[in-house]
Amino acid sequence: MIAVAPQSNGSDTKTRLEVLTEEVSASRLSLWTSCRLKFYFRYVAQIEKPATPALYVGKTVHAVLQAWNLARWKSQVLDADTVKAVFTQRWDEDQAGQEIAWDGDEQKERTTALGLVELYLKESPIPQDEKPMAVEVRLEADLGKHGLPTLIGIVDLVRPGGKIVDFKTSAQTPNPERVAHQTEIQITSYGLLYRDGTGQTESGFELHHLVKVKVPKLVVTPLPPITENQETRLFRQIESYVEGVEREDFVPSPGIQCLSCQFINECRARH
Amino acid sequence: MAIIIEANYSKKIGLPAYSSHAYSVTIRTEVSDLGQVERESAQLYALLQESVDRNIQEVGFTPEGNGNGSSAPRATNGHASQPNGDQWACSDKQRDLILKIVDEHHLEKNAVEALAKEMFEKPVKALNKMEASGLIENLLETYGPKKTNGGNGNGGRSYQRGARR
Repeated sequence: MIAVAPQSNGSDTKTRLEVLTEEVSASRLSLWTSCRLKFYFRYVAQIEKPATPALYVGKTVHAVLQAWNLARWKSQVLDADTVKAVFTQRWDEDQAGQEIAWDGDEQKERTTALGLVELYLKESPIPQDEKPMAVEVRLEADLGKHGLPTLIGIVDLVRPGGKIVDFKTSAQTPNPERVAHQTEIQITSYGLLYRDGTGQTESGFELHHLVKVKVPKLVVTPLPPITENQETRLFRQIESYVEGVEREDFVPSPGIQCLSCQFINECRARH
Repeated sequence: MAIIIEANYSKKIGLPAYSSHAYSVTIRTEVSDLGQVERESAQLYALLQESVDRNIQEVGFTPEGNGNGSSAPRATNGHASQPNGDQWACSDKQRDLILKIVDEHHLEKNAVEALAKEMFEKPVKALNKMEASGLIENLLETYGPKKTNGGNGNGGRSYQRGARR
């Protein structure tokens, strides 16, 4: 089915464009650098798509780990039964109203997701009695004095000492060098947000990848604090983003990534 | 037939503290025949470039910074300064939101102070922006409208904090 996106020259999109240039997040910026037309469909035309099974697995795992982190913050222990109950509740409730294309594999995906949660709780490097500095915390940094918009974001977890943790699920084992590059926008954004929010420098980052291979595994990738070069690169990306959005430069970026793009039909229909 | 040449020369340069400034000059002129275009264009280019280069050296105001191209909010490895008296360490917007939640739900200030102590081991006014955000999220989870699926991702809360993803 093709959902035809409205063209971008109408006055009704003007306010939306203003909003998008007043605040920028790592997600928006990453999508912008990946494909400007996809950015348009998602953030300007606001075409809603149901979550893919992989995304839904990731979101549910993320939600249960958030509950686990919040429990530690309150010095509570989330036992195995409670974890399963939280998982079941999130899995069932969060997909209400969504038409996820399970293709008959919901039970299999559900088993995979629960397996990832159980694996994480078994192998996590985070001690059960470690109290977080922040969990799923919303942060913003006003970059207005640099002529840039406000940077916004949600950080999954901040461990004591200022170690910023991001949880990820993936189908492939991450390569430490590649993942540092692939997540640079997100990591740099989180570093800046943390510094602005606390007045301190982060001690580093940890990417906790739950990998959905035949035998699922947890891969923890440590990364150092962000550098000035990374800051400057991010600022230049934000600057480019603002200029591009303002001139409605929503050009497509055809490539191999389009194979899994949910907006492929809208993209092909647009001229 | 009049032949109009419109020439523009623009330059943008980077400055310390992640600043930049740009200047451009545009000129329109008329030549009588096509044979003059190449020479006229070369003269215009030289003229415009010289003009822009001369003027762009005056950089005017630049924001404060450390002069090495970095501009992030400066951070330290020490502790952030603590507020005194009635000062709040978080942002004004966060302070207003905390007070609004306390007021609208008739919360005991002592209870909110106790929550801040439990979560961060410091009083509400001493919470930095990240900690205040954590406190607000906790208050919203407890006292705000329940989250709903779909929609704009704000969970239908009356306390608008904006989309973050």
